[in-house]
Amino acid sequence: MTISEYNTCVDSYADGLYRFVLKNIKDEDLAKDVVQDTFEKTWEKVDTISFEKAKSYLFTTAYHITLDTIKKDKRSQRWDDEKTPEPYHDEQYNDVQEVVQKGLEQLPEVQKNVLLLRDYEGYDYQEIGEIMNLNESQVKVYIYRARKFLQEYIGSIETLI
Amino acid sequence: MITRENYEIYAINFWDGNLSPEEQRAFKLFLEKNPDLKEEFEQMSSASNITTVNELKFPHSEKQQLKKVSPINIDTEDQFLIDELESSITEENAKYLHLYIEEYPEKGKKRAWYQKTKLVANETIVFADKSSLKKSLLLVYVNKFYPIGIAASVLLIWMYSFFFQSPKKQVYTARVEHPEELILEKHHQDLLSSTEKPFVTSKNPSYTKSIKEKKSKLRETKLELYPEKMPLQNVSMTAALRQDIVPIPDRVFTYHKPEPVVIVVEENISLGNYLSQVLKREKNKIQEKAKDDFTWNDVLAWVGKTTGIHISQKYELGEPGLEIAMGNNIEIEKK
Repeated sequence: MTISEYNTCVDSYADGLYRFVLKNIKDEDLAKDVVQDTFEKTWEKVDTISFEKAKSYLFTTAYHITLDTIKKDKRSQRWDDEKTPEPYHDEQYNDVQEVVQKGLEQLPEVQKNVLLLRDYEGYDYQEIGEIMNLNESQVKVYIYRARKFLQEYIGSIETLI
Repeated sequence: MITRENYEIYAINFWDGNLSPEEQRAFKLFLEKNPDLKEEFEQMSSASNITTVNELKFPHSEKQQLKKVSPINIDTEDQFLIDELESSITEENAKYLHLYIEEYPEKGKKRAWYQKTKLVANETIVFADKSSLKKSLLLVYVNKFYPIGIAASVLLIWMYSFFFQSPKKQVYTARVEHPEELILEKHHQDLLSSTEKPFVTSKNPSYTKSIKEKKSKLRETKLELYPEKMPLQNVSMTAALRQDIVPIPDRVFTYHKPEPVVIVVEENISLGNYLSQVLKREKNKIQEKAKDDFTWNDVLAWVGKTTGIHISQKYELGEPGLEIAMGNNIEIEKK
């Protein structure tokens, strides 16, 4: 990957990485640090990473740095809890995306991340598995659980409304 | 009563099996009495074969095979709805799902809820300072050579402090070119002449004697020759600096530096000792840098690079550190 291609990656993926990390770390400064660390680590291996694989490498790196950061910061208490919670809601919502985002916050981190990579970045199951070190079946199961939870969450709210 | 006018009705009822046994016997008797009608009836019977068609049936097992059973039920509907959302549903299953929702319209609501679980990124959230992540060619080189630059700076500072650490130290300026000659600057020619050509080549048998005889005067001369900050362009390393050392022709260094080098010499330390220390300390670096091609010339080149004094080897030498450590040829004494 050339310097020019590396800089193209910054333009193309920095925002997506930032949003992805920010969904896990509710701290803008920490999220920015993670993005910067991600690019620095990528830069260290710039001569061994092809431009085509750069996006996947960036998200893989960002995901692992995020994991480390969260563990260090103990910001997440549910990181290792894969059990899908029961939907609950106690707020007023303006639109359906707000509802979805609130529901997303209630998901276990692993389910949330597979869904973020799936919907925000359009990765297929195999790619998500490579990024998160899961096999394809696990990814599929997590997506299934996440969507089912969100569907029930949305349904419960619409029923109330 | 069967007549020629109504016999066709009896014929149809016969084919359909609607005649009683009595009526069948009467119909057959009628046909016997009317041979032309009997022939017509038999022709129609063989051609139509109506009774056979009515008895034809599609085999039950095959019929069962043709039947369709929807794979979607209350237990599997979520998977189908998610597959549809994930665009991973097959065409066949999509048809089943469509029919399932038609059959159970209330499932349409669930389908709509699933469609809403698709996350949409908030693209107003962006990483503002992208320029801080980018790299330029200049920065790449700066970063790449940054450690080397730091090391070189430290070395230069150290050397500077070594050579210029105290104004109380004696400062010499020297350029050494020919060890067996002492050529003084013109304004010192009077001093030189007063020593009666004290330095000759080592091949000259009077060399040693001449030095010894002039020892005390030479020491004085030397001190006069090297006043503080006074440039001395050419000086014999051997004779001019240590009179009690006899030059050894095969251990001659030739020092050449286009610009005079200012050397601050600490008490009782010689340039040779200094170089030796540098070499010993930096030997690994030199070897690492030179790798398999490490030679004495590499050492000299490195010393020249780090001290600013270019040293060219004139003769074959032994262990570099030891040779220089001897310092005999290049020692500079404190005034």
